[in-house]
Amino acid sequence: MRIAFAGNPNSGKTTMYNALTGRSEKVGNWGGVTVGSKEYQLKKEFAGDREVIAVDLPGAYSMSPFTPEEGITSEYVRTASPDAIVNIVDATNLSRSLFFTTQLLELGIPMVVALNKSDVNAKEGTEIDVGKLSAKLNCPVFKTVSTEEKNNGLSEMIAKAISLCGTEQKAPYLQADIDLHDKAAVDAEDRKRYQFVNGIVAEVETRKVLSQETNKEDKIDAVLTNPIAGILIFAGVMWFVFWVSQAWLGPLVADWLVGYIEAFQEFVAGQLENSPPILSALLADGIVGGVGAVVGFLPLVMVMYFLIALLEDCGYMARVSAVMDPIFKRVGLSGKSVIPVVIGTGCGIPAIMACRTIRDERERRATTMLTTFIPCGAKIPVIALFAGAFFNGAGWVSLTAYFFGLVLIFLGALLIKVVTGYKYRKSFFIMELPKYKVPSLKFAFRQMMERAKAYIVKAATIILICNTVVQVMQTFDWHFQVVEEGAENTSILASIASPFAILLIPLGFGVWQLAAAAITGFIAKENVVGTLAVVYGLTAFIDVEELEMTGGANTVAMTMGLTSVTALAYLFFNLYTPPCFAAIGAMNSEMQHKGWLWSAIGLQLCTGYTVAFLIYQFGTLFTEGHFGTAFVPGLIAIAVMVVVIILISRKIRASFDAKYQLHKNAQTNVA
Amino acid sequence: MNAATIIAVIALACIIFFAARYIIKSKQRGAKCIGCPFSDSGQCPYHAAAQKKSCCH
Repeated sequence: MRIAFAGNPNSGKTTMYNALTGRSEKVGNWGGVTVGSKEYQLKKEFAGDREVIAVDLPGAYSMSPFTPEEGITSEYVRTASPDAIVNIVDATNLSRSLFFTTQLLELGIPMVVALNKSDVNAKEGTEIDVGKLSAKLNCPVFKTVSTEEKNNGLSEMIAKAISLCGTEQKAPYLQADIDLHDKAAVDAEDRKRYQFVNGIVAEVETRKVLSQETNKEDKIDAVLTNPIAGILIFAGVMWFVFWVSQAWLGPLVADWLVGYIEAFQEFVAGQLENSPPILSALLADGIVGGVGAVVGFLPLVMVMYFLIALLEDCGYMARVSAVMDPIFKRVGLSGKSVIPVVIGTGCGIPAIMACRTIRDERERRATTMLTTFIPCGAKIPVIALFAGAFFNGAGWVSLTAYFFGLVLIFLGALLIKVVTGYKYRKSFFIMELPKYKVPSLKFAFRQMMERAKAYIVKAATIILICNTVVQVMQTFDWHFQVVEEGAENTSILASIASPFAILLIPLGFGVWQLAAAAITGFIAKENVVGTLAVVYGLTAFIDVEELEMTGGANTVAMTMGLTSVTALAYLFFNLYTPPCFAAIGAMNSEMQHKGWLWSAIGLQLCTGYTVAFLIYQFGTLFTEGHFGTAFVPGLIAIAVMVVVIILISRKIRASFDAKYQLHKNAQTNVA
Repeated sequence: MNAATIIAVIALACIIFFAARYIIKSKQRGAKCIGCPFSDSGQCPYHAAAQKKSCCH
C-alpha cells in the first residue's frame, strides 16, 4: 500500500514524513527543499503489521506545474495511482493551500487532509472548525503538529488514511470541461475555484491576526530584504558564522581534539620504534597523522554547520534568497540560482542537483557551472589551515573566500551571458517567505551530528586510502626501493607531481609537494590538508600550546616555505579550480552536454589559475616591488586557456544561435 | 619480527581492508559521493537513489 504526501511548499511534508518513517531527510524552513520524490516504509506504530509505503513529494501550488519539481508531484498523483493521499495543508495559510486540495480531491483517490502547524494557529488565536471543513471538502480533516513527539494527531490521521484505501473519493468542486490551451478559460476557471475556496475559508476560519495588517515580521522583512541593508546584514551574519566557527569556538574545541590525536600518534610511533620504518611511516604518519590532520578540523566544520542550520531554521536564508534574486537576474542567471548557491555552502553536489529546478536550459547549465565557486564544507579545513598558519587565524580569510566566490559567480555569469547571447524567455523566481521562528537547537544539533558523522566516514575511508597511497608513493621510488633521506625528489609521488609543479611556478608555489596536494584535492578537497600533512610530516595544524590555530612564523608556515602572498594564492587556487570528481560527475549528469561540461571545467581551471596568478604576481609587486617568478610564462599559459575556452564557447554559441533563430521563426509564423 | 610489528601489520591490513570494503559496498549501492555531508540527511539525490535500491520494496 502506498500513501502519497502532497501539499504546498513549506507546509511540513518532509517533517511529517520523517516523523512517520523515522527517516531524517533534509528539512528546512523554506519552500523547495525537496526536489525529488522519496519513499520509505511507515513505522510499525503507525502502520501495524501492514506494509505501508509513504511517498514524500516535492511541494506544489497546483496540478498545473510551473516548475519541474511541481511536475514530479502532479505526474505522480496522476499516473502512479497511490492507494491514498495525505494532503498536508499549512493551517496558517488555509486559503492558499485549499486551491491544491480541491484539485487533488478531483482525482478520485481517497484523501485525508492534515492541518499541519496547528500549534502556530493556536498561538496566533486562529481557529478552524475541523468538522465543518471536513463536511465541505467531503474528506476527513485532522489537526497535526509534526514537530511534536506526542499528541501530534499523526496516528489518527494515518489510521484513517489506511482505512480509506479502496474507497472512492467524491470531489466537492469539479472543474468545468474547458480547453486547457485556452489561457482565458483556464484563468476564469481558476478564479472560480478561488471563489469556492475563499467561501469555505470564510465559513470555517476565525482569525485574530489579519494578513493584510503590517506586523512586526513585515517590518523586519523590509530591512532584511532591502537591496543594500540586506546585503550588508548578510555579510555581517556570514562574518559572524566564520568568526565563531574558525577563529573562536571551533579552534577552541579543535585544540582539545588535536591534543588527543597528537598523543595517539606519538603513542603509535613509540610502539613502532623497533619496527621497520616503512610501517611506522604508513601507520603513524600516513594514517594517524594524515587522517588526524583532517579530523582535527572537524570541530570547525561542525560549528559552521550548526550555525548555518540555525540560520536556515529561523527563516533567514529564505530572505537572503530574496535579496540576491535581483542581482542574479541582472547578470543573466535565474533568481532560482540563489538556492544552489546557498546549499553550496554545505556541499557542492546537492547544490548542483538543486539546479534542476531552473527551467531555462542556459540558466540551469550556467548555474551548474558556477555554483561550486562557493567554498563548500570540504574546503573549510583548507581555508582554516591557511588562515591559521599564515594569517593568525583571521576570520576575514573565510569571509573573503565566500564573497569572492560570489563575485566570481557574477563575473562568470556575465561571461556566459556574452558567450551565449540573448535570452528569449523571462525567468521568474517565486518563493514564499516563511514565518520567522525561534530556531530549534535540537534540529541544528541533529543536522550538525549527521554531517559530522559523514565527515568522519569520509576521513576514515576516502581520505585514509588516499593518504596511505600518498605515503607509499612518497616512500618508494619507481624501483620500489625506499627513498633515502634527502632524496625525496626521486619518489614516485615527486616524479608524478613535478611536471604539474612546473605549471604552478608562475603562481608562486611550483614545488611537487604542493602540486601533489592540489591533485589529490580533486578526489576530495579535504585531501589537500591530509596530503600536506603526509608530505611535510605535519599534524599539528592547530597549536595545542597556544589554544588557537597556529599563527605567524610558525612551524607549519616555515616547513611549507611559503610567504603570506603565495599561501593566499595557493589557497584560492584550491578553492576556485574545478571541484572534486564526484561534483564533476554531478555536473555531467545535470548538464547533459559534453561541450558545456568541458567549458565548465576549463572555466574553473582558468579562473583558479588566473586568480592565483594575479594574487601572487601583484601581491609580490606590492610587497617586494617587483613581479614574481615566471610572469611572462604565466601570462602565456592564461592566454592559451582563454583561447581554448573561446573555441569551445564559439561552438556553443553556434548551437544557441540556431536555437534562437528557430524560436524567432516560430514567433514570426504565429504573428 | 616483534609483537608490535605483527599487531601493526594486522591493524594496517584491517584498516585498509575495511575502508576499501566500505567504499566498494557504497559504490555497489549506487552512491557517487562517499561521506557527502548531505548523504545521511537525504538531500543529496545521488544518495537518495542508492537508498531506494536498498529500501524495503
